[in-house]
Amino acid sequence: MDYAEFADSRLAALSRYAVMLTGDPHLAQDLVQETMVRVQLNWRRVSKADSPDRYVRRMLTNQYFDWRRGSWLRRVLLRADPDEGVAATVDHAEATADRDQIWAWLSRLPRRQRAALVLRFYEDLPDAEIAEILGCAVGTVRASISRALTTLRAQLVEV
Amino acid sequence: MIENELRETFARHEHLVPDQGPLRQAIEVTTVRRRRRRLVVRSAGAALAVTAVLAVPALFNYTGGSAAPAVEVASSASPPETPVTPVAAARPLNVLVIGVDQGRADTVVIAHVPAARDAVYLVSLPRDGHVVVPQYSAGEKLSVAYDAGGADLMRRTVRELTGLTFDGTVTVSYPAVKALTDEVGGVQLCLDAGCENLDGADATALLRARHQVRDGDASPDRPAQRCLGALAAKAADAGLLALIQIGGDGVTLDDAGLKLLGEVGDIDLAGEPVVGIGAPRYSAIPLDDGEIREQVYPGTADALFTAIADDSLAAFVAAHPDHVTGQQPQR
Repeated sequence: MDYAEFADSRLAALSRYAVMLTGDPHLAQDLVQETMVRVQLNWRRVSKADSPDRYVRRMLTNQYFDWRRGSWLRRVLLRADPDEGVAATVDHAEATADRDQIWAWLSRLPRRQRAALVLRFYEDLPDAEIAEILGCAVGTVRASISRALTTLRAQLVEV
Repeated sequence: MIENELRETFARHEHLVPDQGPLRQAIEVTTVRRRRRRLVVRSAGAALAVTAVLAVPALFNYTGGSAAPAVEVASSASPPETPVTPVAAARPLNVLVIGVDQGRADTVVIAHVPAARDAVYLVSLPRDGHVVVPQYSAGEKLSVAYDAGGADLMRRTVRELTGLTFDGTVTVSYPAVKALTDEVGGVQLCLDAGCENLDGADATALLRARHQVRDGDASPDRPAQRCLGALAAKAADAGLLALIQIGGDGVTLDDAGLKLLGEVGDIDLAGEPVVGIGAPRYSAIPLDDGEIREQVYPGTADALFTAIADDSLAAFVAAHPDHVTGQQPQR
């Protein structure tokens, strides 16, 4: 498989994954773009992975975790309120209808927990694969998901 | 059930997914730009490498040709035993400079000093340039020559590419660069926002930063280039002898380089301009496996390499001003 074939077959799925992670189309686009540029620059290494798809998902996920530390999102952060970091996501979500409250709450979860939720309930991946993408133990995945669900349930009760 | 609501929430937001067409295009454009940027920043790195090259003769002059403590000799050959006698008849010099970072050839530069000794030209070769590596591969990245056979294979590869024979090959590592920078008390980097003094660690970080440099930044290759130019200038002022002793651990000379020292021990280039030469545009050669190589000086390679061989780079530069990546008066 060469880079073009990979992009043809996987770009749409990666974009969907990025939207679910970030909750914002612009952030998602930046995240996918940055990841795919790196994929292309390092294609030889990527293509040697057991599963290039999982490898790239892991790259994208790490990029998402790192986005305040790294500089790649600086222009995005400058575009939004610089002190709020990802707060733009919240604003966006809050502007939507009531039924999207869960979407809004998702943006307040720690990123690792949100990523675990997306991989389990959107991508429908088994815990072992989720652990590989997140770069943690299976037990950690389960704990993250359970903690995230507890938070969301508590918020549901409050409403 | 919260689980089901989550599934529905995710599904309901699939419309936020960006259009694939523009995204795909943005990825391509950014990739090409970043490749190009790597090239430009790397050519700036050459200025440092040549600072070290110029410094080497100064050291040998000082020690009167005896073994130099700070210079590591690549082979078992002994340094010249007789005192250095500078050659009377000047001839042009070509030195191959290899900047090595973490064991890999990061910068490959032909340093050319004309017979008139009125300038130093630094001709950058793209690390990802598509070349023939003798007795190894009919088509590879230039940097692979170093991986496969060290400085010697790199020299033979560049000779195959350019037809030039070299008076010496010098390998310089990043730690040496850092030491050189610290030795001159840092370099001043001036940007639109003002001036700042960088120490060795800062300067090295700036050089290495090409991998982290992002598109949002305004022309990041420029700071690197200015920083390195400033270092070259300061090095000339500070007296190169001290510099090479500091940077010595990371500087390696081959046999020819050692012989060269005997010949050019007293050439004085202080005050002469350092002219950087690089390809004005990035030209890709896509390969079957999805990898992309860079074409070496598309359209001008023959003219350029001939100009180096004929010692007529001044005329080449006048005819191709777009090839000048930077010029640094040494003072």
